[in-house]
Amino acid sequence: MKELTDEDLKIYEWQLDIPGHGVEGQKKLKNCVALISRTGGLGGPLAFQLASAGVGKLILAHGGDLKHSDLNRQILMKHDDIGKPRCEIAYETLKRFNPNIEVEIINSNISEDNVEELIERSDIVFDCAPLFEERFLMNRECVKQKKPLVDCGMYSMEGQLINIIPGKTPCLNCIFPEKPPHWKRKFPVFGAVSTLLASLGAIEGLKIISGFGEPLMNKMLYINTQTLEFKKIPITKKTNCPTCGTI
Amino acid sequence: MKIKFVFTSQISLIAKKNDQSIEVVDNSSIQTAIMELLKSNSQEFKELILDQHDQLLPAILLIKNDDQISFDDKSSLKDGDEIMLFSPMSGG
Repeated sequence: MKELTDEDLKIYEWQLDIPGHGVEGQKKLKNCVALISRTGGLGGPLAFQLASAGVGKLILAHGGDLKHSDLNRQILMKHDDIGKPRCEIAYETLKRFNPNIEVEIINSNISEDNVEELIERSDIVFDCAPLFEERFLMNRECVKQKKPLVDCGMYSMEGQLINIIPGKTPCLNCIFPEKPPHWKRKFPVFGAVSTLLASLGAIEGLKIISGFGEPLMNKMLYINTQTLEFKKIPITKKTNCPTCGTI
Repeated sequence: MKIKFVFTSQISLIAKKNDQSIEVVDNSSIQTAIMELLKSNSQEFKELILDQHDQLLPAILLIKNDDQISFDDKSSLKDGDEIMLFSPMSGG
């Protein structure tokens, strides 16, 4: 296990006194590999929060180039970078902010071709993908490999957050057996909402990795920023779930 | 009695509102209340919630007050109950 350096102790001084975290928790963060699906409105700020907290290695998977319509929420990106690969811009932003962490970029989305290998190399997975096929794929593989998955979603002024801890909580398929049939890839959202959900997802991940606090278990957090309502909705594991029913 | 439906994500976008209160007869079930709700909404709204056999789509959750209930729940709703129609969200 990598030890904290003198510089680590200076950089993370403000978070080391958080009850239940401390030097031991910080060492866990430093030795953790986190896979983040996409570097957009959710994945980008989430990766930034993990980098600022000192998570040792981030693997970012996101195919495609930056477009004008990404800039209202994809805050790792810059206007000057329109047309460049998103994951390369994210890499530059994160490494400039925290050169002490390792950042690996995969210039493609998570798919059947890479999901097994990427999750095998990770300790925790953050699902910030727009497509439900990709989300169900990560869920299936995390359940199979018994890796924790933090599932973040947003729409308009709302958001959802679910921690999937295989064997202890329902999986994504228990809650949503199928994708919504009329889902549209483009949907309304403010960057402030995606950043809020990203921060909450990062907080849940930090609690799971370090072992402090009370991660959201067997509940789904629903947020409506129109009304500032936060609701924790109980969710139940399905014994006949095709994905996690046998574990 | 009055039942308040709360719409989420794409459902509220299509409904063009965040919630709707409806009047239903006393002791109505959730199915009865949803069918009543659909009378004052568009076909597009209905297709976000029910399949062609008028069964709840698997991706939609029904949250009565703070707890999930099934579409087949036969228990009677009470005056003032709040039902959230929850459609899953994603990243982007």
